[in-house]
Formats: sequence, structure tokens, C-alpha cells
Amino acid sequence: MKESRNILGWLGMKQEQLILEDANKHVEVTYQTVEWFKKAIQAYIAGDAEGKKKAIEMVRECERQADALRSKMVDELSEGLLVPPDREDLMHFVKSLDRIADWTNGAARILDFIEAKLPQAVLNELSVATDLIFTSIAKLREGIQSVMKNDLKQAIIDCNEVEACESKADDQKRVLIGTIIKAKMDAPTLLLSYQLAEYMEGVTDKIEDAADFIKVVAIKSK
Amino acid sequence: MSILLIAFTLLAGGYIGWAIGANDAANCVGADIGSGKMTVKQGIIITCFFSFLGAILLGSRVIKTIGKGIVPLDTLDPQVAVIIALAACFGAGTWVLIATLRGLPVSTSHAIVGAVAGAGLAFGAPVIWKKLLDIFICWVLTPVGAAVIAYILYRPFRRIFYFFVPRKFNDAVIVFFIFATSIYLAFNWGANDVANATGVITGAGIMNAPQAAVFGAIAIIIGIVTFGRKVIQTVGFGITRLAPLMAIVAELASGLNVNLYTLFGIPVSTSHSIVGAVVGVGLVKGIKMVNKKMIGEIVFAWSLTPFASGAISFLVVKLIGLFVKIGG
Repeated sequence: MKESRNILGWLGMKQEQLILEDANKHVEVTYQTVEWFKKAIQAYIAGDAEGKKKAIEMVRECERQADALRSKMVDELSEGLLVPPDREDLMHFVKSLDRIADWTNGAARILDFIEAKLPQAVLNELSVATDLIFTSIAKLREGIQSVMKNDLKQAIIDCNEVEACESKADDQKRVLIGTIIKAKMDAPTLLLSYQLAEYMEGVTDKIEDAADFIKVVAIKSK
Repeated sequence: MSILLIAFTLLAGGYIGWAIGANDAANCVGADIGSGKMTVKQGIIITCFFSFLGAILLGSRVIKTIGKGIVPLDTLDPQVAVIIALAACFGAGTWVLIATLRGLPVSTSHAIVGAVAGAGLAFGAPVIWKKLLDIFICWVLTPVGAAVIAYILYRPFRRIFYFFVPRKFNDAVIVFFIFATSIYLAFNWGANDVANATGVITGAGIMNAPQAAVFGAIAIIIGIVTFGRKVIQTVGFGITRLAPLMAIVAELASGLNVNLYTLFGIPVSTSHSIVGAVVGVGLVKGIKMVNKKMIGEIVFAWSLTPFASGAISFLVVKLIGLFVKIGG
């Protein structure tokens, strides 16, 4: 992050730092959203209906918290006479974080509708896709922490790893959809499974979008 | 040896002038550039020219305070006076450099006042505490006064503007006021801040006040031209979001505020004055500008500065004393 001794510059950049601190909290909540989604998938694979229901409820709760944080950050960015130099990038970043939670919640909603046990091959591929989402969000979290510590080089490395995860998630979506198509399922389950695959890949897409904004902030701060 | 000391003192004073120019020119024109009514080039020309004028026409009052008002350098042994001047410039310059590297919003006025007192104390020279207390009270009043002036001025100014100025001339009149207020602020900035770089140089008898004002003003201009552009651009394009009328009133209030202190020869922070003024116009509009955490950090940096620069200059004097026989 850039720093300035000029008082007007300092005020703007300080506000940028405060927004990034809130963004860090937002990432934590987003991370928890994904973590609960992972637990929901694990519970579903294990046939634990109660555990799945509870985890999906927690995904919803985390998504609500992320929404509240997003509103707070947008308010902070839009009010005040002295604002951060990167306010537009930060505004996009805040929205991209919110989309991660939104899409995770969307995926959880679809999962909630799937009651029938899916074929083992599909479950295996779902598990791989979930791990990719989780690795991706963990790397994004590390990237934000690196920016906060002014370790811009590490932040860019972390963001590049998020990008690599997204690429793997793209491939995994293809594999998962292939497995779904080959599996013997009734029409509603097939449709829901396909939608779940779409949403899960969407989550990694949104994580990559957020990582792109972290890169922008890091590169501009150099 | 004394020529070396004089050369180092001038170098350190020049550095402080350069740092002032590089960092604080944005306070005079940043908001105007941000409002789109002034170009960066125009801003640089205005700050260079009018800070120079302010320094040479009105700078001598504050120069006298820093050179003779805190520690009466003119009554001391000339070598002692030069060493105090060198230690003060070095102390203030070092602290300003540390602050720049750490991104701390410190004031060079506060740094030099603390450094002069610190160096004077190290020698056991008479420090005029009454004057220091007056200066300290003025430091507290600087942002508050600017905020009050801006708050009082904004509504009447706005009403008068829209009552008397026909709509088709709005833009032209705004541009006129934008330039007029930034010129006024740059003039007062030069008049008050040139002393930070040159007050002790005059006090130690190295130069007289007019020569020191020209020397300091040139250092400030070099600061504006070499590095000030970048800071002006960051502040102008990235940070301030003042509407033109708000920028005009903020600069006018800040200029009036600094002008008042300059007439009394008090070194104050023009940075704190402009921030106070921006807060003042913001309050009229009910806009939150800074939160408690930010205010806390500003006050911390502000309070720390005179003590930190004073401690550095104190140590420098003690260090010089180890190698040079002083006052003999």
C-alpha cells in the first residue's frame, strides 16, 4: 500500500487501509461461507442429512454477514470528503468478494434441493471440485493478508495461485459434467447436479475476480 | 571547521526546504486540481511563484521567532549558535525523513520548533518556555480555527455567490476564486513555512533574514519542481473530492488562518490548517471526513514530532560535543 506524509494524502490512504481491514474481515466471512459449504458437501457425501442441513443454514448465515460487511464498506467508500486513491478498484473488489459469498450460497441452495444419493463417481468429482474452491479461497485470504502486510510480491504470487486454481476448476467442471451425463439419474437430479457443477465453478470464477482486484491494488501500490 | 559546520547547516536547512516543497505544495492546489478547474502545471507555477513571494515579503517574522524566539541564538557564542543551528536542522530533517519513509503525517513546523528547543537544552542555553507555550497553544488552535472560519464562511459565501453571480458567469467566477484562493494560500504557506528551513540559519548569523528567505524559498521551489508534482497529482486526482465552492472556502479559511499566525510570527502547520478547513466545510454539509482512529493517529504523530526531533537534535549536540571543543 502506498503511504504519504502529505496530510491530505495520508487521510485518503488511511481510509484505504481501513477499507482493506474490513475487506480482511469480509474475506474471513467469505472463507467461512466456503468452509461451511465444504462441510455441507462432506455431510451430503457421508449421508448425514442433519449435518448437511445445519451446514447449509450456516452458509446462509455467513452470506448474510458478508452482505452486511459489503454495505458497510460501500458506505465508507462513498462518504467522506477525502477518499482513497484506489476507491473504484476497492469498490469493485468489495463487490467481487460479495459475489463469492452469493455464488457459494447459490451452490448451497441447489445442494439443499438434492435429496437423492448421487452415484459415487459424481460424489468423488464433487469432492475434488469442493477442495479446489477451498484452496482457492484460502489463497485469496493469504493474498489479502500479504497486501495488508505490504508484501506486494507475495500478494501477487498468491493471486497467481488463485488463477491456477481457477484454471483447474474449469477442467474439473468439464470432468464433473461428463461424469454427471454418464451417470444414471432421474431428470430433476440430473438438472440439479448440472446446476451445482455450474455454481461451483462460478464460485472459483468469482474468487479469481477478487484476486484480480487484489493484483490491481498491489501493482498500483508498487 | 566552522566553514564545514556552516556548509552542513545550509545543506540541512536546504533539505528541510526541499521536503516542505515536495510534500506540502499539494495542500495549496490539490483540491483545485481535483475539482478540474486547474491543471497540475498551473498548480506548480502558482505554488512556486507565490510561495517565493510570501517567503521574501512576509517570511521574516516567523524566521525571527524560530531563529531567536525559542533560543536566543544571536546572544550566544557564534560557534555555539552554529552548532545549535546545525543540530536543529539535522534533528528536524532526520525526523521529517523518518516520517516520510514511514508515511507519518508530521509537520515540519513542529519538527523544527522541537529541534531548536532540544539543541538549546543540550547546551544549557536559555530556552524561552513562555514562547514555546504560546506556540503550542497556537498549534492546538490552528486546525480548530481553520475549521471554525471555514464553517462560518461557507454558507454566506455560497448564498452571496449564487445571489450575485449570473448563472452564465458561474464557471468563470469560480475559476477566478479558485486561482485567487490558491494564490493566497500559497503566499501564506511560503511566508510561514520558509522559516522552518531558514530560521536557525538567520539566528546563528549565517545569513540575514532576507537572504535566508530567498535561500529557503529556492529550496522550497526545488522541492515542488522535483517531487511535489507527484504528491500534487496523488492528492489532486486521487484523494480530494471537494466541490469547487468548498475548495475555495477551505483554501480561503486556511489562508486567513495561517496569515493571522504569520503576522504574529508564530510557526504553525499549514497542513493542519487545510485539514481543519476541509473538516469545517464538511461539517456544514454533514459529511463525515475522518473517524476517531484517524484523529488519534494524527494527534499521536503531531504530539510525537517536537519531542522526537528535539531528542535527535539533543543527541546530535552531545555527539558533536564529543569531537569538537565548543565555545572555547
